[in-house]
Amino acid sequence: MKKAFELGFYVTFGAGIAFGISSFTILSELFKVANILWVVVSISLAGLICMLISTSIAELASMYPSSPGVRTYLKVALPARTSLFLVYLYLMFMIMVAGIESYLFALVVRHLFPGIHPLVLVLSLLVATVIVNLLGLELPRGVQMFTTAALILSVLCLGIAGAASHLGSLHGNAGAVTTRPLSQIGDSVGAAVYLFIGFEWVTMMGFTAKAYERKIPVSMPLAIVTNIIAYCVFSLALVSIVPVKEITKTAIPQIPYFVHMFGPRGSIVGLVLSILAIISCFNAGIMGGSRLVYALAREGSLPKSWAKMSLETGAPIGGVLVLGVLASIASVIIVQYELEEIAAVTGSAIVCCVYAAFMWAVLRLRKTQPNARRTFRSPLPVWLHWVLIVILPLAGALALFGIKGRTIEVLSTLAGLVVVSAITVLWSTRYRDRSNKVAMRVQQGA
Amino acid sequence: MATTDVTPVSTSALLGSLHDFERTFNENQRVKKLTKGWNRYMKAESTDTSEIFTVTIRDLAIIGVESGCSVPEDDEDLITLQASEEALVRIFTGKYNPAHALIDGALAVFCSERDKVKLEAIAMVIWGL
Repeated sequence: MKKAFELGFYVTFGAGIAFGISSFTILSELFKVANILWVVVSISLAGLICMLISTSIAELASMYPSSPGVRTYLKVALPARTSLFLVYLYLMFMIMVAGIESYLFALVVRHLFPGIHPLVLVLSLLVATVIVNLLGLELPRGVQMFTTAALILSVLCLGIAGAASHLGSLHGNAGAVTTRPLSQIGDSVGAAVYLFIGFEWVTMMGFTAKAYERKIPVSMPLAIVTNIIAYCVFSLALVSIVPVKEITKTAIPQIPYFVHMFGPRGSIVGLVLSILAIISCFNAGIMGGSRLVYALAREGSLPKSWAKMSLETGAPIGGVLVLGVLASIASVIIVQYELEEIAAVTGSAIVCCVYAAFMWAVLRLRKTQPNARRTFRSPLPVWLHWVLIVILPLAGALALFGIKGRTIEVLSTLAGLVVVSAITVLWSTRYRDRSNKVAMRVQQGA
Repeated sequence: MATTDVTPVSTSALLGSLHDFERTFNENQRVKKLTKGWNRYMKAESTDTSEIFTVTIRDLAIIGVESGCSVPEDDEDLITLQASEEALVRIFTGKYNPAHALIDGALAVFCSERDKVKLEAIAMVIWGL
């Protein structure tokens, strides 16, 4: 029973952290560039790619179990500045996701309470989440599992219930152009990778060293398959009930779906599901992001004060506050300029590159540390690693061109993030050098 | 006829460092404040020499360092630290910050987040890391 619970925890964690309110936004995006057939194909293909990537991440995790994942995997394999650059990009992606999720949650709440300003909702959510994390309050594992299972099962059941009697009308509402299938896949796979981002965070959750031999490696593909099924079923359901024009003009297509199903009370259903998504994805993201900030501060790449930790609760106070402030700034910008789509596709592109870096790290470590302990080895042949290392950044780059009419904004956003990351790397390097010099002087003085 | 065996006794470097850690831990008053109500078994597992030692922390002090580990793996009071012998020795003698070791991938720690924080706090208090 305990073993089943452990595996169940890993699977629900991996599935839940990837299933946020923004997942519905991405589904809406996919329908802008592809019809239902190619949306389902793109979701499945993106999921398959992530499953392949997960085997490499599992190998890295087996070499460095319990480590702060993204930081350690890149640090041990890549040159110092390159790894730090990618980590900062990843951190900025997490901050953007916090902004996106909080904005989308505000949109859902405003369906029921349109009088409340979105900024009030966004900042309230962020403040509440920051307070919960500062107090070190964590959901018991069983509750986490329950909320994620409830979310995914609800999406599946409501999807099946809604679609069952309407699948016949699917053909007339198939979606975007049915010609040029390859370009439809090309535009949508990179964006669809977003639907699964976060599955790799389970590598930090291993209960014991043995978990990294089989349970953690198996849990990631299981989590991804769970989400593939949920997203595909819901996409089919969405397009069989809601006109495509309505799907693509909203960032929260789940609301019109539930309203079509249940009438005005459908908004309440949407709100309940959004709350479940917030618990499984948003809160976990703030927790994970604050721990990444903590790790970077402890190693001297970020200011020491950001590593402040509560000795009573174990909460990384510095990391939570920093992440909370940055996420609030991101939220304000996203609300002000309605940048949720742009932030999502930019985030997808960033993570595609980070995943490619993980795959490259595996090959590099096999050369530089061939005798290092690996309790799990990726079964992917080397050539497939290289194919994915090439394809992933390409898919990410193609996703950048997926929002018609906003390509310049997307590219500018990415360029801005790249510049900020690069400047932060330079600053971190100088900060670390300065701190080391001070420490040496103190030691010599002593 | 009795013989006198003069073969030098080899002492595990890890065991030596754990005994040093025990002395430092038990002599530090600030650590006692930190570990009030915190009874744990700390398993130090060397990945290259396959040595395993268990440090028992009970009632504000380390009360023993034993070879092997009789505590079940899923015991909530068990903290497992895995690293090479050299890394473990450096950690338990204050020469390697355990937080850095974790980020560097040189150390794996299996326990609750609160226990990880407690370990880091102990390292900070004892060695100022």
